[in-house]
Amino acid sequence: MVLVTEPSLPALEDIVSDLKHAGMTIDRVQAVLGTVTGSIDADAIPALREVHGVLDVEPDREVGAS
Amino acid sequence: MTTATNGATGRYLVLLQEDSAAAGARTMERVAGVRATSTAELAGAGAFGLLGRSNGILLHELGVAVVTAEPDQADALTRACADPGPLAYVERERTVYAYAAPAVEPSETAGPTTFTWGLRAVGAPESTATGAGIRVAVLDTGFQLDHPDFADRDVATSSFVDGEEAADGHGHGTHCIGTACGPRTPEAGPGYGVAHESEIFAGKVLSDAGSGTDGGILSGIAWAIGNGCAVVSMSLGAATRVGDPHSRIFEEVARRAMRHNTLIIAAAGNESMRSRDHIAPIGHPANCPSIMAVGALDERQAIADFSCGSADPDGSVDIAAPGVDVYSSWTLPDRYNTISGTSMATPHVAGVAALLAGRHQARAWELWARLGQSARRLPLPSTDVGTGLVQAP
Repeated sequence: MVLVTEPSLPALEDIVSDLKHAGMTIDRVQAVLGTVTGSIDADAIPALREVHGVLDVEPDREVGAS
Repeated sequence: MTTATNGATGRYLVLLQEDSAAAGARTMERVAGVRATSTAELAGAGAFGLLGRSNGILLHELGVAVVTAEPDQADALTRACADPGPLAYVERERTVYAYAAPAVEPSETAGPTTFTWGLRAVGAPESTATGAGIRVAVLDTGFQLDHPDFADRDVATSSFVDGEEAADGHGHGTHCIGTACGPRTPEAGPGYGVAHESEIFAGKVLSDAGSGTDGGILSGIAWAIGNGCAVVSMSLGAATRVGDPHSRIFEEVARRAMRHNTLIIAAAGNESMRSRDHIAPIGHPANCPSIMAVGALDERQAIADFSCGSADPDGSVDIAAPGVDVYSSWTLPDRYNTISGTSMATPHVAGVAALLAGRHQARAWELWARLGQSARRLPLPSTDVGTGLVQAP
């Protein structure tokens, strides 16, 4: 999952497009939160961090009922 | 604890209506001949000699006067409070002491069995707040859509689990929704819902097998914000190890949610085995500082054996609620079930949050503060229960 900086939110569509170019298969975009989820080869993750407007990238975790 | 004079000092506290300090001082003099020197005047004149002709002091910023009064003067002030005007309330001033020993709060959950022990423990039956008009999102395994106890309720649903509808094929989600938003007077059995007139937003982010992913949770949070939900209840998580950092993304997402007036409340986790001296750290994402983490208590108001604790400086338990042997709604045909977990504690807090939101129009950080401020302190480590047992307004 990718977190976009708040000032970049108006340009979220462009950022999503840049993420695709960097090799990410987009699953969902949560525009109100500025987050994007999807999949990518682990070795391409550094390229996602280089995309302008990206604040952070974290692996998706599995969660369960508690 | 009390003295022969009941700890009274002979002075009285007079509460004035908001922004009525000057009018209040005039009224006290007119009805009772009591003169109070305002702190505003004192600051201006720099002359404490003013107090010589005065019966006391008016704390301008607080709108409270502390005055010496004879019984007939006090009666006159009390009568004036009943009339429309700037005087609100009169009390005897009390003498206070440094505490010599901590007070012990007796365990008190006994009462009629028309409500679950959890509802009684959070003071829900005595509260007139209902949560009406407040939207509560429960992100879980979905909801049993045609449950008879919810026939007259507004329920919006959405699924963020690929290939599964919002219908609950597990039971956990229906149970959590029951505690947060369910009825007080179901056809049969005890009342089990805290915010019994709130609007229910059931977001399915966990599969019928009870698991999900961060991506689904984020989608559920975004859906809740888009629908103006004041509260998001998440009885879910992933175990962490001591020293694991919290998710920077979920922390930032929680802050953004707060800016959209949405408070996220999450289960601390069930990985402890306190009976074997093991306290596990708070799970993800409840370990994010801006997500309210909920620990579980049993009916004796002891910490539940399984309840995660503040094992890291980073993640801390913020509040506690009933989470052992909790009775609530379940999928059909069972209809009801009694289960345990910090999952069960979390919707008690979410329900109370909805009551507070309705009562005070509080949202986001104000709502967080009111939950903590009104929680009943417990003689237990704050690392286990935060500010204590959540209480309905």
